[in-house]
Amino acid sequence: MKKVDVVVIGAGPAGTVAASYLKKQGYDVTILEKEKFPRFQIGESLLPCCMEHLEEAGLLEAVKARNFQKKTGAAFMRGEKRCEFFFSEQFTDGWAWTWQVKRADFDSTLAEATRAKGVEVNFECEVLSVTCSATVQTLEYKSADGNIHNIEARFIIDSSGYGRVLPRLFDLSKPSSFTPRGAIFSHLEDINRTEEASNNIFVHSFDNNRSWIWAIPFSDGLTSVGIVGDKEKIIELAENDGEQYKTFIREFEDLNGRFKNSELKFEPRHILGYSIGVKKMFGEGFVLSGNSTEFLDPIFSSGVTFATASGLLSAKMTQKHLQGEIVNWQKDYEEVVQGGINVFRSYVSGWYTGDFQTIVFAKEIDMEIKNQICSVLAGYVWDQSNPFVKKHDTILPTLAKVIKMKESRGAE
Amino acid sequence: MQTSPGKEYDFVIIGSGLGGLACANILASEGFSVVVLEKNHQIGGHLQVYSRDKSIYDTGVHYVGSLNEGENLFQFFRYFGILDKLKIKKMDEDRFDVIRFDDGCEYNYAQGFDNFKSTLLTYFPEEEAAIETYCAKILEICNKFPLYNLKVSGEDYQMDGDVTGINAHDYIASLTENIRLRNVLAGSNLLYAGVKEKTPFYVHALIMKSYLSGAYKFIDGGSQIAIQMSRTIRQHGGKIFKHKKVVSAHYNDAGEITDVVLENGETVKGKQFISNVHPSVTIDIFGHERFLNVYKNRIQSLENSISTFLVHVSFHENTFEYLNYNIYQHHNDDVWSGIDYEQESWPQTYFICTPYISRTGKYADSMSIMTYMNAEETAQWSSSFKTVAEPGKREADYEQFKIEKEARVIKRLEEVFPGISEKIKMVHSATPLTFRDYIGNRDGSLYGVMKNSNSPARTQINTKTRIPNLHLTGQNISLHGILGVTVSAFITCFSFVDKDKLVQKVKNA
Ligand SMILES: Cc1cc2nc3c(=O)[nH]c(=O)nc-3n(C[C@H](O)[C@H](O)[C@H](O)COP(=O)(O)OP(=O)(O)OC[C@H]3O[C@@H](n4cnc5c(N)ncnc54)[C@H](O)[C@@H]3O)c2cc1C
Ligand SMILES: Cc1cc2nc3c(=O)[nH]c(=O)nc-3n(C[C@H](O)[C@H](O)[C@H](O)COP(=O)(O)OP(=O)(O)OC[C@H]3O[C@@H](n4cnc5c(N)ncnc54)[C@H](O)[C@@H]3O)c2cc1C
Repeated sequence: MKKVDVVVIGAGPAGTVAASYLKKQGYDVTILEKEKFPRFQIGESLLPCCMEHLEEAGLLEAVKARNFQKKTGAAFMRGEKRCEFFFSEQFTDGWAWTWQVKRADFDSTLAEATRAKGVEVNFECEVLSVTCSATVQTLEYKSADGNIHNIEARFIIDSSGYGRVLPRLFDLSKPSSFTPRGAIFSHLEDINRTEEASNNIFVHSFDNNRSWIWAIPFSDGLTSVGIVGDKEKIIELAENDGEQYKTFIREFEDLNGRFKNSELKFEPRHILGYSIGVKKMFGEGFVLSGNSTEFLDPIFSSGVTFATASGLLSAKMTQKHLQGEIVNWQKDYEEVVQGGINVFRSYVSGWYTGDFQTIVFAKEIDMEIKNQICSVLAGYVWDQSNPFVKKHDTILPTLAKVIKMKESRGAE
Repeated sequence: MQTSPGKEYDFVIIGSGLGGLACANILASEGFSVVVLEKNHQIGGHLQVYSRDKSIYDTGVHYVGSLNEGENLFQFFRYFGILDKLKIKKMDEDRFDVIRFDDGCEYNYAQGFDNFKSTLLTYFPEEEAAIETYCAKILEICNKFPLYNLKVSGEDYQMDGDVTGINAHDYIASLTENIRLRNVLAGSNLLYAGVKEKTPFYVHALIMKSYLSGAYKFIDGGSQIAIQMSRTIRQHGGKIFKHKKVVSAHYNDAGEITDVVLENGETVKGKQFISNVHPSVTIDIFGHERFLNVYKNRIQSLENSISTFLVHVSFHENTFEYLNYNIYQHHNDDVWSGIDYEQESWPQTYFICTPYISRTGKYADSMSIMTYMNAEETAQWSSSFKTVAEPGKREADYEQFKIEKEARVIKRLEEVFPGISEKIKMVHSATPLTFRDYIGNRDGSLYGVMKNSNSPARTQINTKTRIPNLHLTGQNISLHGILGVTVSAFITCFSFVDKDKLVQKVKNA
């Protein structure tokens, strides 16, 4: 049986970052990836914070070479209101830009760069079962020809994303407390895009903050357009090859006809009930990273950044473990990752209650507050000197209340 | 300690012209928290450069003086922590400026008082007494301005009337009957948009002395001042934000500003506020009702200096040699009359300068020709607005106007450099409207509020205002130009920092 130091399940952002990092430290790493790349994946808008992880994993240069669409900020809209954030204006001292990417290209680039570092990346290898113990882990997987193989590793990093390999096998999943929602999306021609207009992602909130629509422009002139809403609504939009989705994005008045006559590059796809959590993020012989831990909601484009953050941290912890150190997985891994997720949880809740919108669409907003919020939106959710990180659970409702009071006083 | 959302800065500075940046530099080094808010997409105000077709053009710094070791600006820049980072080139010792007349005669200004005097004597051997007296007077007048000599004194740095009441034209005329010498001595009066009846001699004196004490160009553009300043400001924890146009302010019950409001709805809280914007625009921003009528009327009735038409030409590669000096060309008999031009004979007076570009070295990459233009000439298009960040369309007739004016300037230039047209690759120009839109004053004025020897006190503006925590800085306060504005920033900061200690720091820098 083949023996390696580490097996990483999944070649998405979490898996490739983890594998590249460990390879750099001199370990023998194999990735098992179910699909053949390039493959479609959702999650196209990145956050500046993930640049740090890509850099540390040694993957940044490879991605730079692809000249993906630069993203310098994000705009939120609701009816006539508009609030634009620029990452150059943030509280935390961090990256001022990142990319908007077609994940098929982005993930292939990461996988190729990871392979170039000497990681064995095996596509079309689906992990079927896993046995873990303190020192020896065995995985059973099926390769493209349908044959079953076994591989032995000292440690496993599960970065299988929506595949949730170990959470499923070890019954680690935990339902999400959020209302079940869904999303429907496609890639569209975007001929009405202008030279001057910003090419950053924009989001329109509607249905009294219950639904929203994203537009993520790519460097090749296409734009990803998706609608997020309650599960029932998405099911409706998706019926008959997404008939209502198409009508909606063509007619939605806040889009000002931008996609009126746009051709769809593929029939709209939809995904439902993606919010899910885990009971724990590690166990004897394994750790979970990326989406196989917890996924909240796409509104703040945080998914890939969490994948790279947790991918990197899981790799660092794994290295310690392999060196024979005692690792406090609970404190040094799970609580750190969970801490960041919890910050975003507050913002996702604030989005659907409308508190976030009350703040960003206020007639006036303190620039420093905006910059502090901007750092959260840039993914810097571990910077405890930012009050919008430190007091994430109370600060949005409190501030929204103050603004509402002020504005109703002003309106009298 | 409870961390609160948002932040109240010790100082909120409106405008990132040199005045704003210098205040930020001083105050941040003193440990205050400072934020600079700039409306444009580039910082620096007149220090901005722009590029067209790979050439870099300065908008408002062609050369500076006082950069010889130990001179005032040298010390100020050293104090700012930028001196050793600036790429500068000393202009010709024996001619940094050339005063040129229609008859083709050229008079060189040499650097250093002795050199300057002896060079002038070669043209005017009979005028030794006038030249001596002139130089002595310049030194005498400049001595009355303590900060220019890195000294502290007096309360408010307002200047005394005996000095400020002397008129430049009249004083120079009193020295000699030699018309040519008079014209030569006042030949670079474009530097301060000299007006015969109004320009005080002290303005002339401070500027002349400065250039005689070390004239330098900025290699590859003057924007490096702003860039280096912003670096030191950031190193000291100060912040600078672009695209932040201040449009109004909020007040507390005591009549103090609590925060300023930006065009995009953002607000910025502060304890003290410093405006680097023209005082009359400052009044618009902070609210007319907040100022006394007498003050408002005085400020708003102050005459601004004339605006400019600035032509930039780029040369075909290696066709025109770099000039390590500037030329002030006068086509009329009186160097003071070019500002009051007739349409038919425009341009009568202009300034010629070739920026020093390291890439092209011995050859000039481009040339700037600066002449006067009244804002009224472009007033008919004044409702349009255009910067790179906010592109707009101006009428085709405006473009036509520019093309015609450019052609007239180039035609004149042919008289100075026959055959130059052949060497020109591209021409473009900036008008009073361009300056207005980039700087945010009302009329694209070259140097802001015009100083007047007839009513010197009226044209002096205090850094303090009736709003207890609103202060002013910039070219309208002390004097325009890199040196004048730097001095103004120190005067503004004297309200917050012990001036003896601060000036000592400059000296020890
Ligand atoms: C509607 C929607 C919109 C989103 N928008 C954004 C966004 O704008 N920005 C953003 O950052 N995030 C977004 N996300 C989240 C984002 O998609 C994920 O967070 C991100 O892809 C997670 O990366 P990962 O590396 O953990 O997993 P993935 O990218 O899912 O990679 C996991 C890999 O594991 C492989 N795999 C699965 N099972 C097995 C198996 N049994 N054996 C071997 N391999 C296996 C899969 O084939 C896959 O390639 C969005 C999510 C949704 C639902
Ligand atoms: C054509 C020309 C050539 C010159 N040549 C020289 C030279 O060779 N040597 C020399 O020493 N001097 C020269 N000067 C003079 C010198 O450039 C100026 O005196 C000096 O730069 C002025 O600095 P300042 O601090 O007063 O502000 P300014 O440069 O006027 O800057 C004011 C700033 O405030 C910003 N602002 C305005 N309104 C707002 C608002 N509402 N909110 C936020 N920001 C706002 C503006 O955008 C600008 O950045 C020249 C000037 C001109 C016009």
